[in-house]
Amino acid sequence: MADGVGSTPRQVRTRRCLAHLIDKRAERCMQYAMMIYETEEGLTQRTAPENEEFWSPWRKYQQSLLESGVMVAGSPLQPASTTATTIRIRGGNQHVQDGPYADTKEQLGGFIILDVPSLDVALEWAAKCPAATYGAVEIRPVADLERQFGACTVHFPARND
Amino acid sequence: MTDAHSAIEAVARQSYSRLVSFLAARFRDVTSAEDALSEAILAALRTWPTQGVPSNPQAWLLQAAKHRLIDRMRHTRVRDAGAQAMRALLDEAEELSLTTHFPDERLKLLFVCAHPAIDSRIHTPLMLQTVLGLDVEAIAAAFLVPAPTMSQRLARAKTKIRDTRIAFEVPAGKDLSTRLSAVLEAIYATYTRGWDDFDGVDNDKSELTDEALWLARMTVELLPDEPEAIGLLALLLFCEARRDARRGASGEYVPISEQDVSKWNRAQIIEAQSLLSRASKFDRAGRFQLEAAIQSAHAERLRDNAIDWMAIALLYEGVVRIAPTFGAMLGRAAAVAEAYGPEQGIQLLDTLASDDAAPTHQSYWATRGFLLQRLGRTVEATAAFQAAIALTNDPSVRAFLTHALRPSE
Repeated sequence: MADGVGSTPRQVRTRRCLAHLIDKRAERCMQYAMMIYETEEGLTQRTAPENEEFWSPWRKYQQSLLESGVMVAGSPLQPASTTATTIRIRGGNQHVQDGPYADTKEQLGGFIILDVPSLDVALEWAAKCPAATYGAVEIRPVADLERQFGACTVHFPARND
Repeated sequence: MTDAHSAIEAVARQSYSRLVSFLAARFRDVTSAEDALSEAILAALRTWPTQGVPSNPQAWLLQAAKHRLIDRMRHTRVRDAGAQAMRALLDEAEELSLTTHFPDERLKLLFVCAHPAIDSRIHTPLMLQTVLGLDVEAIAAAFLVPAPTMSQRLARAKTKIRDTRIAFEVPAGKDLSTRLSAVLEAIYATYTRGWDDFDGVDNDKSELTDEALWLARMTVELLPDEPEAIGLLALLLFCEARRDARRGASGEYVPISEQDVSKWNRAQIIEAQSLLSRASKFDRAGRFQLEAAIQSAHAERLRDNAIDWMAIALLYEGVVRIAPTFGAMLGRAAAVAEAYGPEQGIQLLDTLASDDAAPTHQSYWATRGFLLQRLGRTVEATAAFQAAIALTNDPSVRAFLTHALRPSE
């Protein structure tokens, strides 16, 4: 939409403003949870700090996440088989279970929250994640309930709030 | 039909995909874009007959749909200050942009429809609905799925596009070729879906082949430097050119090597040949260019009535290396049999016997029957033909195979 001949200055200004606003909207970022699933063997690799073959790509990956500023939060998790505890309350009774909520071959080994403009960019980061080569990386958009329903819902403060 | 009605129909037909693509790309929401455009069309049906057809009907529809989208945004996101500011600005801009010069976002929509985050089985139906505006009933019928099921799958895909914020963009660099191949696959599937219908009793649905050709042309127009896109258009035109020759005088099935070349559409073949040579100049061979080249080799019969089976076998070898589908491997076996004898062909077919697709693949059993027959293995040939006959619903193919089974009759 070029600033056409015959437009009044006000029209031209409005049009520029509009284009700018639409661009802003397109740029608006969205948060995605990148969930890293690994096998038990994959997780045990982490216990050897001298395993350069394993750590070197992870260090590079973390470095690029930090430099680009897309990472909101994230952390590896300790192994589910030995450390997970699951709690359920049914009929007022609390059931505590020693172990993960579901026993699967691959388990949640860590997560990273990304702040990026689109699923495509989130997928680019997921594809660069070293765990994608030996485990699986799932991308899920974070539910923005505040935007969806207005300011009446629970507010989860971000780390920097 | 009044002038206003035909004007609405014309603008809807010509501009539907451009309007939906523009709105969907702007608002990143295909469902809302479609809904808003249908509401705008309804509004046109109400007002144009009495108030007259606007001087720029396309811009009118775009403007009306845009306002509906903005209204919806205002209702669902009351507290979103940004959206309100934007609405105010858009209101102010209303008087401005009655212009046809809005960007063509159809290619972006095609890439969204064939996005890797969307189940590949829904790529083609999604394109048919969003880019071509086909109704769910027609799509469901073409895919042999109940309409409510198809409707659910489409809705799920569009919700995912909106909620995960899939980018409306044409991928760049290395991504382009991978992503483009998904787009081309979906267009090709549209075409073969129409072709399959042609094989069947119901000919009404073969309009899908026209839609596929239109999409292929549009892709070449928007991406003129992608040889595979050009190759796909060439392939579709070669197939299309033979449409009238696929059936004999009494409706019987005629295989390509026995078709009456005078029934081939020369204009389409000439266009396909020139597209293929244009694609080959990029020196980036791919599956669709090779398949088009195979068709081109068959089309040589127009000139000297001889088929170069060795060349075809070699081209199939190339297709198998790039895309080792069951159909391509079957084509290679048949071409090798023609070029180097049935013994060689049967050897290749035997390697396919354990494939999951083999037991229910009609052409596999038919090809097997013909090759075994030529080798004098009559008992096995009969069993193969019978298997093929049991796998087809098309009376003309059944008649063709039954005749092959008892050539003396």
